[in-house]
Amino acid sequence: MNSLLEINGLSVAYKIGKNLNEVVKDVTFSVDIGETLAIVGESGSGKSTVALSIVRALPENAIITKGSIFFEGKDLLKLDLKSLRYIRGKDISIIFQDPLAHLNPLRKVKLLFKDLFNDHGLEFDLQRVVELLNKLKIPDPQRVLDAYPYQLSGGMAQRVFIALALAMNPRLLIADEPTSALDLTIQSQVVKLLKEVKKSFKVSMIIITHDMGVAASIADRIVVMHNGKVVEEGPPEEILIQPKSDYTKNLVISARRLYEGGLKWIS
Amino acid sequence: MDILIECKNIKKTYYVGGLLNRRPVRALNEVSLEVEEGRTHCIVGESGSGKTTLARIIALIERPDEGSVKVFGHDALKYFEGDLEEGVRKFIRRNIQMVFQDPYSSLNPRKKVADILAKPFKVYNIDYDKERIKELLSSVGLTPPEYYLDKYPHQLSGGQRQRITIARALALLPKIIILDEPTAALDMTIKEQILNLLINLKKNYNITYVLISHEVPIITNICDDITVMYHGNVVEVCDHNTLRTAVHPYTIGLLSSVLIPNPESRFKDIFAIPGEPPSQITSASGCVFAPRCPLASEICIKHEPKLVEVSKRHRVACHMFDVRYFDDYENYRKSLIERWRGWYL
Amino acid sequence: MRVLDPLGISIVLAILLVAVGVSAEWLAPYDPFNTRMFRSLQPPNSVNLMGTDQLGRDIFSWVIYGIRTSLLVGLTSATLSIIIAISVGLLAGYRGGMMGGLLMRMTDVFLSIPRFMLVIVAVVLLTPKIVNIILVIASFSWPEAARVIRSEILSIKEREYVTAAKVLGLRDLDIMLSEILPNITPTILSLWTLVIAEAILTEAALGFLGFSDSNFPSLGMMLMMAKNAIFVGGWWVLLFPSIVIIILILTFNLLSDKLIERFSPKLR
Repeated sequence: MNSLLEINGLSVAYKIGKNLNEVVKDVTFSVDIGETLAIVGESGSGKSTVALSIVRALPENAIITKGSIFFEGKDLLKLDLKSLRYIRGKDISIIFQDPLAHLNPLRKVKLLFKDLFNDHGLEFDLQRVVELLNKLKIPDPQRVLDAYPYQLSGGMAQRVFIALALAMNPRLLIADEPTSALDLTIQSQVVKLLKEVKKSFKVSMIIITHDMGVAASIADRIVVMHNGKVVEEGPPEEILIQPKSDYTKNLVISARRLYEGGLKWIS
Repeated sequence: MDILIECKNIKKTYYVGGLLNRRPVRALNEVSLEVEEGRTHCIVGESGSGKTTLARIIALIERPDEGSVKVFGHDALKYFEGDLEEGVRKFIRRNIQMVFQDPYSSLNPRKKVADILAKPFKVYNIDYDKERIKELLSSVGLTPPEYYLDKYPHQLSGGQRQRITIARALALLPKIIILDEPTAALDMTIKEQILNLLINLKKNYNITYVLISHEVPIITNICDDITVMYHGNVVEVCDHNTLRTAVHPYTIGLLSSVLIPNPESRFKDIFAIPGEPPSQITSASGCVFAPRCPLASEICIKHEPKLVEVSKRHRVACHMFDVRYFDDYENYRKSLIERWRGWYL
Repeated sequence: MRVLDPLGISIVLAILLVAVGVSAEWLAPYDPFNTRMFRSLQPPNSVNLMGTDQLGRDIFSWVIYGIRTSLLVGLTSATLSIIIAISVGLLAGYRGGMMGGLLMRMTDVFLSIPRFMLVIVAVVLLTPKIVNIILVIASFSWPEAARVIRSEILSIKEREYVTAAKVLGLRDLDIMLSEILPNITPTILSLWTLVIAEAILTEAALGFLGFSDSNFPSLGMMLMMAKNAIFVGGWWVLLFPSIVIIILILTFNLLSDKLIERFSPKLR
C-alpha cells in the first residue's frame, strides 16, 4: 500500500440558517508517498474545504456528512482530539494563502518555533531551526527569528510559514492557495521554493490552487474539482493535453489560450 | 493618432505614520505616459510600483504633486481648480470612465442593477429607457437582460458583477476606460471571458483602454502599448511587438517568471527574480532595480537612469543598455537568467 | 416566524407601547392629576388597579399617561438628535477637515463632563417645560451619535463604489445622499432606537429629581413619591412605575441590538 493519504467518499456540508449546503460531494482520491498532488478548481469548487477536512480545521457550521480520510492506516475523521493534535503540525501540516493572518502577531518568530516544539513535547532546537531557515533560502535567519511576523515582507512571511510547517518533519504538507494574492515575481518564488521543498524534504504535498500554471509547474498528478465533485484526475500530460471531461476541457482551453495567446515566444 | 492623455514627469508622495514620525512614501517618481487614441495602453507592475496611483491620477480623482497632466488637450490642473468651462469639464468627466478591481466592493450593495446602470444617464441628464438598459446588459454578455434588472449585487457572481461594472463604465460610450486589475479577482475561465468581452467592446465602440494589470497573460493578449513600472518609476515602454525584445532586466525577469500550464513545466527549472521589491519607504538614489539586477554596476547605484529611446515605440531606462543586445537577443536574455540563477546559492 | 423572533417581539412591543401612549385618554380610567386624599395610599384593588399614591392619585392612570410622556420625550428628542447627527456626521465624515476636527473636540468635551449634570443644570436654567426638556436632551445626545456616523462614513467613503460614483461625475451632495446614506441606514436606525432608550431614561431621572414638567405625568416623578411611600409600606407606588420604565427601556435597547444584527450579515 503506497498510499499515504486516502480520501473515500468525503462529503461536507455547511449549515446556513436552516439549510444544509453541500460543498463537497462524494470526493475520492489518494496521495502516494513522495507524491505532489494539485487540486485545481475555481472558487466554490470545494477544494479548500477538502484541505481543511484533512486537518479537521473546518469552521463551526461545517458538517462532514460521510466518508473517511485514511492517513497511514488511521481514519482521521474518527480520531479523538488528543490524537488529532498529535498528528496536526507534526505529521500533517498546512499553510494558507495569507501568512500574516495565521501567525500570532504578538510573538516573535523565534517564539513561534518554540511554541511549536513545546506543543509537541520537544525541546526547542535552535540549531535545527536555523538550518531549516537556511535550507529555505531565508537570508539572515537570526534577524528573522528576532522579528515579529508583521515586520516581514509578504514573501518572507510565507517562507517562515512554510518553515514552521516543515519544522516537525511532517510526511504531508498541504498548501491552500499559497500563491493567490501575491505579486507575480513572489508567486514564482513561492512555487520554486515548494519545488525545492519537494526535493530536499521528501515530503508529500497537496497544493490547492485555481491556477493551472502553478499546478503544471509542480504537480505529479492533478485532481480537477468542480461544484464539490472530482471531475477528473491524472498526470499533467493527460489533463493538459487530452482532458476527458467537458469541464476540464474548458478549463484547460481557457488557461492555454490565456498563456499561449501572447506568450508563445517565451519558453 | 491623437494623444488623449499626456503625463509628464509626475511625482506623487504619500505620507504614512502618526504626527511624530511621518515618513514619505514615494508612489510616483518622474513618470511620463502617453495614451494614444485607439491603442490599448497597459501599465504593468507589481504592488508598490505606483500603477494604481497613476491610474487614479489619469482618472482625475487624484492630483499629482508635481508634473503635468493633459487630457484631451486640456490641463488637468484647470479641471481640478474649476477653471474650465462647464461644458468642457463635463465632456472630460464623462469621457474618462473606470472599471475597478474588486467586483465585490465596486457596486453599491443597496442598489439594484437597473438603478446602478441608470445612474450615468441621470448624472448627465440624458434620456434613457428600460430598453437602453437592457441593451447595455446584453452588450456585456448578460442575457437575458430582464433577469438582471432587479437583482442586487450580492445575488450575482464575481464575473457577473464585473460585467456590470464594465456596463456602467460603458453606458455613455466614453472615449477612455481605465481598468484597474479588472480580472485579478476572477477565476480563470471567467478571466478569459472578460478579456474577450473587452476585446469585442473595443472593436464595436472604439474605446481606448488604459489597462492596469500584473497578469502578464492578460496584457500580452490585449495590449498595444505597454508601460512597465517598478517602485514608482517607469523602467520600460514598448509596444506589442517590441515587447518580444524587451531589454530591461525587470521586464525580462517578469515575463520569464510566468508559470505556464503545459506538461513540460514541471520538468523545467522555475525562474523567479530573487529578492524582494524595496519597501515603499526607501528613497534610495540610483536605479530602483539595482539591488536585484544582475547587471548592476557603480553608475547604477549612484544615478537614476532616464528613459531613452531605443527604437520606434521602445524606450528603456537602464544604464547598462547597449544597442548591441539586439544583435543576439536570445543570448542576452539567457545570460540574464543564468546570472540570476547563480544568485541562488 | 417573523413575529416570534427577538426582533419581531421588540417591534411589536414598541408598537404596543406607542399605541398605549397615543390612546391614553381612552385607556386611563381616571384623570391622573386628580388627588383624592380619602383614597390615599390604597394598595391595588378593583377601583385602583395599581393602587394610589400618597395624594390619592390613581397610579394606573398615571402610568398610562406616563408612558405617553416618556415616548413623547423619547421619540421627539431622539428624532431631532438623529437628524442633527446625520447632517453633522455626514459633513464631518465626507468632507472632513475642520468640521471633523471640531466635532471630535466637541464630543470630547461631552465625554469628560458628566452629561446628566449638564442636562439637569440646563433644564433648571430654562425651567422644566416639556419643550425645553426635549431640546436639552436632544442637544446633549447628538454629538455622540454624530461621531458614530462619522466614523462609519469614513470607512464607507473609501469603498470602491464611492470612487466609482466620483468617476461617473456625481457631485458630493449626490454621493452623500444616494451612495452613502443608504448604506448607513442600519446604523442610523440602531442609533435612533438607542437614543430613544437613553432619552426615556433621562426623562425618568429628571422626573425622579422633581424636574419634570408638572403638566405631563412622569413615571420618574411617581418614583419620587415612591421614595417616601415605601417607608409606610406602599410597595405598589415603587413597583409599577419601575416595571414600566424597565419595559420601555428594554424594548428600545433590544430593538436597537436586533436591528444591527439583522442588517449586518446581509451586507456581506
